[in-house]
Amino acid sequence: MRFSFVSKEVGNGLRRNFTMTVALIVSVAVSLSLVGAALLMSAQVDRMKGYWYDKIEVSIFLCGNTSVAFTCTGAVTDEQRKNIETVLGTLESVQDVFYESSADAYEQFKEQFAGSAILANISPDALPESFRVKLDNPENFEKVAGALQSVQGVESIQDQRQLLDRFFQILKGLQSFALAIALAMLFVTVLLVMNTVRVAAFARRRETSIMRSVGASNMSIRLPFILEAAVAAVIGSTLATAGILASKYWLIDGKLAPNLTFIPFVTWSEVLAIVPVLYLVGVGTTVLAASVTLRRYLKG
Amino acid sequence: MINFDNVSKHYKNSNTPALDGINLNIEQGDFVFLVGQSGSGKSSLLRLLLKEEKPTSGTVTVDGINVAKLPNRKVPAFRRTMGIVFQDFRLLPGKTVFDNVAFGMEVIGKSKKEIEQRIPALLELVGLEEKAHRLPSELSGGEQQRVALARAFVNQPKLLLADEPTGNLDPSTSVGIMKLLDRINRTGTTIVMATHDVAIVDQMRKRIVQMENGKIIRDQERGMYGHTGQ
Repeated sequence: MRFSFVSKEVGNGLRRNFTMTVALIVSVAVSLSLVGAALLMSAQVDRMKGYWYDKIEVSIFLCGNTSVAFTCTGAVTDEQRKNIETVLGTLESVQDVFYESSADAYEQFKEQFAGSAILANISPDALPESFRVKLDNPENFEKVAGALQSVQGVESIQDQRQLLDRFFQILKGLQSFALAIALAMLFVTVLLVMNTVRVAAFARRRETSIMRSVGASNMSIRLPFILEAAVAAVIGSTLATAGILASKYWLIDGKLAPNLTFIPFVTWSEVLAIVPVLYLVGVGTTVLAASVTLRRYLKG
Repeated sequence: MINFDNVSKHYKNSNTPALDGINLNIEQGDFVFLVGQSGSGKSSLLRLLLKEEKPTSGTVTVDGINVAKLPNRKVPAFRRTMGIVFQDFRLLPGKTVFDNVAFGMEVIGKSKKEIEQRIPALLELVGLEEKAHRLPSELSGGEQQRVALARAFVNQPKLLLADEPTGNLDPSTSVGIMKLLDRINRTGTTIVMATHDVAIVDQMRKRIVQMENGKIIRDQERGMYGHTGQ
């Protein structure tokens, strides 16, 4: 098969089948945009997890005068405090331990709520003293909690991750939703490819029958059809890529990042890593669907 | 060249066999008319030669190849050794005469240079050198069939199959096509032509294989259509 001959056939095919080609391009573009959005969201969640999990810690609040937990018998004693510290020291997943006294906590509190009326109602005693524990991996919270929850002098253990996880769950939900729509759109794209190829094969049954009778190989009979679908898929994938890059440039960098400075957003390299996936999914799905259809409609 | 050894063909939805115990031998360079009424088995016989169908029993051999056992991927190469002409010409309406003939070379990957060298001589052979850049719709039926013949012969096949090539042509045009076929035959190409054009068959005086109900009822050298020997 000569390149010039094949490319001429492909060009002719695309022009004659113009409306279907446009439909195919749009369908590929829309479904891949959704695939891209889902991938972008997943990269975003990973990035935020990495950023925040690094900052979160486990707070071990110690008993105060008014504590009612079964591990408390009045305020924590020096001995109990020492014991807790020793237990923390034996735990492998503990990376760092800071002690925060009631006075320290009060200072922090005053800073955070400076100028607020709430300050007047809070005395240093009302804020419990605590150990702030940094873990090597936030997932290891259960181990630490298990080791400490029945130790005398510990009032309660709080995992900041729980607060974040609720937020991440919402993001995960959105991500699955986008992925579900993307899959549905990809399915529609596959059907559209099959129909487009079938129509093209029917419109050109004369050519293909002549090609067969002069001894063209199956591959060279099918190749123009497959390439036509692939060209449409490449154009569609390019549109989807442009959409993803544009949303990074205008939406994320332009609008979100300047206003939401406490959220780390996906970087360009993470966005660019999505691009080959889009092309692969777009062209791969299309070529596969076209090949399967041709096997059925262009019997050698 | 071609050998049918006790070949039968039953189609699924038919009670009577399309071919029933066919024994036939055709030598290299032969010119054979395959005659008989519609449904007598001519087309089935041609389809078996092209491996468009497989025989239900018996073996078909073409140029030493057992056609039924030929793997699918080798069918294209096998078809390149033969040329085919149909009653309805099967030209591509959007391509010129030159491009239609070139198509037969393009699809099997011949270079542009080879194509440009080969085709003028071929168009001259079929007498269409002046009309190389016309579209099929601008040609008469006879001229269209000449284009189809040029395309069938473009890769110099050893065997040329013609399925009612004069079926859509008037008698005087048909004579021209037959002369062309005769000239191709003289280059050593074996020709098998299915037809029920009595005048042509009688005029040419070639070997006749007559079929009826899937059986060969006559195989006669230099025969005539009407003389069935009854």
